[in-house]
Amino acid sequence: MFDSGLLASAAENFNAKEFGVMFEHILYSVSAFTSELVLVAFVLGTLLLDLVLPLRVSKHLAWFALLGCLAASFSGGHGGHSEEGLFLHMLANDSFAAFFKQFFLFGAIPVILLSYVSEQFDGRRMGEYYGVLLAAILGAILMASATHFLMLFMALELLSIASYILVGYIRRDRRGAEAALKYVIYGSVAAAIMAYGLSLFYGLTGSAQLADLANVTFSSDHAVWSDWTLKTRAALTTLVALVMVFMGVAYKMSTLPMHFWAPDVYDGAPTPVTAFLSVISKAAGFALTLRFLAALPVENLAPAWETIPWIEMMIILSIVTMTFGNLSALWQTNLKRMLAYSSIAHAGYMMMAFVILHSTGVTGAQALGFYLLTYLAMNFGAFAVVILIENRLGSVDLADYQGMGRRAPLLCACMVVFLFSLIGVPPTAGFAGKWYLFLGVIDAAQNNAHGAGLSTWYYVLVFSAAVNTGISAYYYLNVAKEMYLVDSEQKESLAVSTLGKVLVAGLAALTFYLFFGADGVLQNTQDMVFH
Amino acid sequence: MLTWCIFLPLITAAILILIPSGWKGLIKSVSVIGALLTFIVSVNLAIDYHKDAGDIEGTDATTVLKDAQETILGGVDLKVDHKGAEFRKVAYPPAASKSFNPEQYAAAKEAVRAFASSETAADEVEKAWKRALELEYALHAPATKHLRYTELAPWISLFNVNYFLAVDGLSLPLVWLTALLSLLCLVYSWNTEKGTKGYYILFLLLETGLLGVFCALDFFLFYVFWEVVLLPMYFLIGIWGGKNRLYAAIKFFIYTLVGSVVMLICMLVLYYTSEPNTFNLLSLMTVVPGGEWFSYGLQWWLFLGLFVGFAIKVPVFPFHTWLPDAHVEAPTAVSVMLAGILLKMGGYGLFRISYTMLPDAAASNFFIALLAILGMINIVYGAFCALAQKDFKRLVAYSSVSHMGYVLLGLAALTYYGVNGAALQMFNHGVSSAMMFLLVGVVYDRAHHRDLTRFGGLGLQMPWYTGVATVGFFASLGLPGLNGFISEAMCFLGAWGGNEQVSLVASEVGTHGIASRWIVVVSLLGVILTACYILWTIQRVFLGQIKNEEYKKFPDLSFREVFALAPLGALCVILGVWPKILIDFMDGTLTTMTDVVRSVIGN
Repeated sequence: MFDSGLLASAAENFNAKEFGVMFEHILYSVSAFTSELVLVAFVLGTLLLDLVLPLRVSKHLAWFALLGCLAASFSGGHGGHSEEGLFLHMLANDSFAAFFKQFFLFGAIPVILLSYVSEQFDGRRMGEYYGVLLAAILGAILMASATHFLMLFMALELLSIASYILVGYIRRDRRGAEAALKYVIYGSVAAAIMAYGLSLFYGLTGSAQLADLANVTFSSDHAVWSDWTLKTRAALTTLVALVMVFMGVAYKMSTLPMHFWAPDVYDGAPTPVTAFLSVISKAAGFALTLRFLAALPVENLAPAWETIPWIEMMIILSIVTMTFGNLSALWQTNLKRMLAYSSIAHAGYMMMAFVILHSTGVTGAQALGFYLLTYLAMNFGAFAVVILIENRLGSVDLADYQGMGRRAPLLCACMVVFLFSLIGVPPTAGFAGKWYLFLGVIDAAQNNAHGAGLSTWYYVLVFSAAVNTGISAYYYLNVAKEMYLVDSEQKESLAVSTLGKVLVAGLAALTFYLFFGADGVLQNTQDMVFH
Repeated sequence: MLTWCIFLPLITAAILILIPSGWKGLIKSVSVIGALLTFIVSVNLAIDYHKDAGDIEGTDATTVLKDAQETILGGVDLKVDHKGAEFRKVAYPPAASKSFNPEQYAAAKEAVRAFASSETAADEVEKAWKRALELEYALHAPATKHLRYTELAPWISLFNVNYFLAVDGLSLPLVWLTALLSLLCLVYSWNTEKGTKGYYILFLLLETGLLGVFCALDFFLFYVFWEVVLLPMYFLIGIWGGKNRLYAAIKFFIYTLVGSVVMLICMLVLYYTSEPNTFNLLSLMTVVPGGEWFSYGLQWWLFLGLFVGFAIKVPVFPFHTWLPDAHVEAPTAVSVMLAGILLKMGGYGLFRISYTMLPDAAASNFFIALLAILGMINIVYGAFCALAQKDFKRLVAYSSVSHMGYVLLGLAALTYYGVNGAALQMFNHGVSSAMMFLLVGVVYDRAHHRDLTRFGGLGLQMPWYTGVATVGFFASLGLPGLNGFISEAMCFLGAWGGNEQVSLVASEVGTHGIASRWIVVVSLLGVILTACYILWTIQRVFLGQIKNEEYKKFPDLSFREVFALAPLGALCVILGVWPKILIDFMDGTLTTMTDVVRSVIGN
């Protein structure tokens, strides 16, 4: 087996035996990295093919990109079962990373299909689009498996930069350009803050490994701080670093306090890209954050960490995020903006997973993984309907949805399924996901997972989530109301492509499946662990 | 059998989806046939159900639970025969105490693990044992002996969620009533022209949800069906309702949703507090009387949380404000289901979950007082509100608020009379309020308004209608000889208390009971008020001179309307003169339930 001490010395003084170990390790890493390599090949392939193909065929590169995702998914290597990191501990090769790898590759498929059925891109070369999209997926995958600050930051930037391009893909669209610019500016600031936070951690621990986060150390010879206890200094610096890193990832997750870009960018971006941002990009942020937080010590053993109440902070942030998202969504008349705020609210629910990270029962990783699956089905479904209707109407205004139930019966029936799922009403996926999260938090409260004092906090958290569910019902049902309850003069039915119908119906079926077949799916997320 | 009963409407709805929406006649016929089949199945259930008579048709719970235990334990490798005395001795609690205390539980767990054929199998054996133990608790539950038509299949094995159905004397009448009212309403809705297909599909979906709620014995399953009811109801009110339907639909939805999410939290707390963790309502019932696991404090909070969930549905003052809005806006048939069945879900939840699972809280003075006083407020305040209404339908809606108050009062007393009366009142109110809403619908279809001040003299024009209406209204008023009287009298008698059994509302038993007979006295005022608004309504609608020339063109009841009204009218009379047929059903189950709750107060 591979030994990191040996490797360190191997880098300094070369000798044949150590070189052999290193070589074996790299071979092993590459073999566990095949999906990513396949994905890279398809990124390049898509870009190159676009150069030789005529414009009218360019749209159909979607199928090539789709093939890329499937190929990457099936060439999954032997990952997921090893405690050994990849590439000198740059990447993890655990079941958590494996789950998210499959999640992103699977989630890319609806995004590609949504882009394919959307008419917003008509008349454009799409090779670059799909190439960049695959690159973004690669970034997301790396984010979920990065265990080294550098890797983590690079993965984040890969996803971010790819997303900037996607948001501004329709070049002459003023709103798209504005959205892209906002996204870039806010994104760079967030990334800079995060990089600063990471550098602080590097200074505190002397290591860029996530696994070493617990070892915050301080030397006592700082004369300036002498009237403070060592612990306070350490705690304060650690807190600042933690907050900074969190600001960076909160930007990706679109949780408070870095949520403000979401409505504008979601609104201005092409709708398939909005769908991508609200699910894949968010999920990548959550995966990264979860791995980061999982590395923090809980038992208050490590110095400096014991005074940082990060679980309480997460609980408060979670409550504030979901409440803010839901209350803001109440007033939206633009469906894309509404879904943007709804995605902020859902980010708030998902943050509940952070506080049960180290539970013995339902762990944060399991609950989050399953919630993201359900969110993928229902949110992509809702966006699919929005895109297909936008194709015909050219509008995402709620007012234009009046009487849509009669004009596009299948789309609207499925939309109702997605909306009820987003509220969290059984028998839909959204309920199963929420139920699992609640279950985890109540389990933690009952079994005092993180110390007895937290029980009340947990109950407050669950109760707030429950109240928020009630609030959210209002604006989700508002859509159903416009579609079915309000009559309109417009009666002619909407022409929808067969692929669009199949896509929407498929996502609706998935939304039901994740409820009725929850048992099987949950069994799969059960053994999700970090190494 | 129960699965068929629950899912027949859903299957019918699935068939309807395939029929083109233009073929309205076929759609209506198919759905009525579906509802009729469901009704026939439910009648069959009722006929085959014999109260403790020995010759039980259908499968009873004991057999099914034992079979399930066999299957679970048969699947793992044990060193000893799991049916043998050796295994039973360590694996299950001794017969005298109904549950293990925590130390015994830990010891039993170790002993069972030692039975595993190998070290590696120990975890699996422990898991299987926990599931078997949970079923053992269910077998011990006093309520189990009354259950029939049990069906049990694993669903989400990770969290021990089962597809667990059964009916007893409490749920069977409600199942039967649901099937009956659905059938009548579907026939009554025959003239629905707007979006016929959607209407019938949603209606059948609603029926499935309601039947499921009454049959489910797994809390998770119960919750799922509970929520399934929301969706069709929202659309039925929202699409086919009156002018202000949007407001009413969303108000209904959000009120109920908030209540049920609070219920969800309580459900999860129950799950994690029980050991082994379970959603099985029967097991949760047994664990409690042992008293080791559910502390009084926890029960108190759970009762409160569940009460909020159920009270919104009942609806109990001050959560009742959604009800008049929803009723006024909903189309007639939907109002009927709303008043007839949906309100019973709340009451049923109190019976099935709050009282049997949290008896310490139920018998605590705080909750006795809360339920009794809220019941009193419901009765009197609802009646006063009804008295003030000019809108015919709003009046009937407030009368529902008033009538559901009797259920709370009867329950709070915790006497055989009171509890039986409460259950009977739920059924009777289902019949009489359904009838009243149908009657309002009949007159609204003709006059296109519901303003009580503009009616008058309809008795001359529509004698048959007036005759049927009188039966329905007097049943609601509680006239002796009609069904309402029996259940109201039982609720009051129960709350007043007798020599054999003391009412907890009226007297004290040790530290339990609030000794506030005035609550019963004040509630009795409600009867007078009810008489006032009912008689006044009859006077304003049927008696006197015809106020409007147009009314002279009104035809009397059509066949469709007679079909819907006649069975309900007949039920009012039959249950009024011979309530024994229904009480026989309920008595065994409810007596057991009352005994369980009263066991915590020591008599």
